[in-house]
Amino acid sequence: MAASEPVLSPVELTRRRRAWAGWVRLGRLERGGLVVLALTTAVALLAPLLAPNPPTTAVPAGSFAAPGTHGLLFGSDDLARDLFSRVLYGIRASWLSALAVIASGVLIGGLIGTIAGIAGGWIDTALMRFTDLFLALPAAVLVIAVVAALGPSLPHTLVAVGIVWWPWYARIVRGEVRAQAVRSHVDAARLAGVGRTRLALRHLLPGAFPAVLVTASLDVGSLVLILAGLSFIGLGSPPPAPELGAMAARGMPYLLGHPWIPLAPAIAVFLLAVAANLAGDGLRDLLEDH
Amino acid sequence: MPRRLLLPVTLLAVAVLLGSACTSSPPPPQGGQGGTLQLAYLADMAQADPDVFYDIEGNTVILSVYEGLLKYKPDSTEVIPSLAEKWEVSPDGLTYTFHLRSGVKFHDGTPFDAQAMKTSFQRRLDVGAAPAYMVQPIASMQTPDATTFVVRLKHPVAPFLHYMASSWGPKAISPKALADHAGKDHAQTWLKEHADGTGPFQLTAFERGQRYELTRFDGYWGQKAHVDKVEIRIIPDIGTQRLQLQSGDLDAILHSFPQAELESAKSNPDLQVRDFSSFLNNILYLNTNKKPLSDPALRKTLAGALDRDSLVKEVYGPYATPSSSTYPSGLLDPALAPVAYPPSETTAAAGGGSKLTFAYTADDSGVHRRLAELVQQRLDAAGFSVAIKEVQLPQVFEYVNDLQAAPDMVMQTNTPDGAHPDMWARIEWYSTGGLNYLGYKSPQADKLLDQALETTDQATSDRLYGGAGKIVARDTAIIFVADPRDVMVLRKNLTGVAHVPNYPWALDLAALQKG
Repeated sequence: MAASEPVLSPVELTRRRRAWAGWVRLGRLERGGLVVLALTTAVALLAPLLAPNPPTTAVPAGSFAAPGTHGLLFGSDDLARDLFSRVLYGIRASWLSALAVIASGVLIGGLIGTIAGIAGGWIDTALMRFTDLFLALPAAVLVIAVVAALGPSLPHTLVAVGIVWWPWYARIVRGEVRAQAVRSHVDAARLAGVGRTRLALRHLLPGAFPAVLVTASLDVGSLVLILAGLSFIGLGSPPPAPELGAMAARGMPYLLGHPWIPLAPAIAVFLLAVAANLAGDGLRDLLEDH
Repeated sequence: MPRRLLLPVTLLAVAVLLGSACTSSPPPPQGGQGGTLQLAYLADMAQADPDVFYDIEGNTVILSVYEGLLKYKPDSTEVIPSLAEKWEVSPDGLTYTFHLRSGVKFHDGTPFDAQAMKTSFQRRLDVGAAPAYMVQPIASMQTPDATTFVVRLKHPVAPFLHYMASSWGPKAISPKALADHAGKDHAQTWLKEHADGTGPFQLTAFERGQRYELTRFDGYWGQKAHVDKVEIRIIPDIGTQRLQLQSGDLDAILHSFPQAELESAKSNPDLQVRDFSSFLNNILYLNTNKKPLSDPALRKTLAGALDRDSLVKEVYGPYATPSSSTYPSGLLDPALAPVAYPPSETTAAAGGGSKLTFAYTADDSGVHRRLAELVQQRLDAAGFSVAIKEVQLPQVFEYVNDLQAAPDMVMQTNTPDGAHPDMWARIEWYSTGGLNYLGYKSPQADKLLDQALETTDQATSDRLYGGAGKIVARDTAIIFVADPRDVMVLRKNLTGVAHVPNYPWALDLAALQKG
């Protein structure tokens, strides 16, 4: 260890070692997943800078240019738009949408779950029955109905998926909060005269954090797929927005003659979902340490 | 939600996709003559009742099983004999005398005669579905002898002979079948899934959503069919149809082959790409009943901004020409009602930021979607702001009920019922026209059409039809985009291809041979 290394407290050192040990113990796939996940996030954020062409206007090469020709990495689609740029923007839309849905789920579900968990009694019962009501509805049908009623657009799709997504988090948070509430450190805090709000924020919620994080990370993959699926059946952004599901659907007639048009977005969805799942597994393994 | 199943399910889906792309059963054994012709429909034909049927998918079944008094000569608009050998029209245009063919039998063995024809006409009136309009102008029907059928009209109807030749026109249905299965609905229940006509094929299976089977009718009065059977399966995905055509499981794809893939089909030594003249017409309807397109000047700007001719070339390639008239090419001399939309020198300010909603129906060839998105691209560049959405046809028919809530533009490909200008103008832009989706109204054009309908002199009536077309062209209420060809992809060994412009998506199945 070099002399210039900052002196770390033993606790901090242990934590770092543990994290590293966790990383090392992860399978190659999970590690790859985490790396891809980091890359994807970078791509999602930087898409406007990375994309060589605007996603909705025609390039001079014309339509149906093969991948690798005319300086177009993935070729051009039937409307002469640069597929590579469209896929980048599509990844951005998918990724940020998935994160937005999860954030809304964690926020709404977390709030309801915490209130139910702390309040107990009839409030708990009422909130949880309300949650069950949403869980009982067939999610896919509900989403399609909501989007159909509001009209297809990305915000509407996100609202619809958000509506079916939060109950899971409400249940998890409520369960964790209930479990924490009977732990001795919470009893000790309560006896020491800590107020309700502070008790919830400082002593109960942190306990629910790992479980929520693991669930959320495993959800990203299925959300990417669900959003792509909705977009595939025409319930996403209206054209010409670059959305992976819609691009794959609209490219289907060209599958045999110009396969890159549907395949490029389809493969992007596939890789996103796989990476998100592997990364989710990895994250869970890391957190299980605690 | 079964979240943990995600990965296996994804992998399974990929495997299934790959699997379906690779498997192809060997082509069925083929004889020199006879054999079974394998065709496909993208959608169910809903029903086989010729007095109710009013769709395009299903034409091949109706035209093979039933016959009307007249039909069209292949590649022509000329009306030729079918069940009527010859006919006379009185000078006042009110009395039509049809001399019927003798020795014709229905599939059940019942002989065909004038009385049978009258019964069929009467049934069409009684059923009163959409295609009944073709017999509604009839005042009386007489059958002086077994082979003479006289129809007297309430008023002259210029296209009446074309009604008789239309694929949706009156057909001869066995009077015995009509009586045996009459029920309380003029045998509609039975005829939905059964058929009893005089055509070269019998309908021997009608499995809804699955398949239809036609079997050669050996008692047919004319040239008997070459193939023994025709099997039409419902394959709702054009990609699947295409794989089956390539592997020989299908003998032909009669419509909606992806336009962009025709070149690669042409280079396949097993396939032949055929294109035929048709009355199909791709149309952009503008909503003249609400802002912003209630402004004629803005409609003209819009039409110019489309750069229609290059649009048609880009999407259809050689398989369509930009419409030169408000009537599909071949229906009327284009000079009588010409249209042109010269590309205007539009700037990004031309559209003035007008927000437009644009609905189109998806077709499996990908043509409508591509046209719609290119239209959006071009109009956006000209300063419009276009929001497009894909809709189903039934929704399009609803628009006329609430024109303020209807979209500003609708795109659709239509075809007239018969090869007569009246059968186009009256549905497209007559104020109560069935396909006048966005409620265009011009009392002046209506009046000209009504005059033309009752004019017996063809030159005069053509001029009147042209006059009505000119008004629509002047108003830029409907933009006539393209006259597409009827494109079919067949196996190379298929011969005897006979096509009628007014029977889109259909070939004469009796004439087809498998080499």
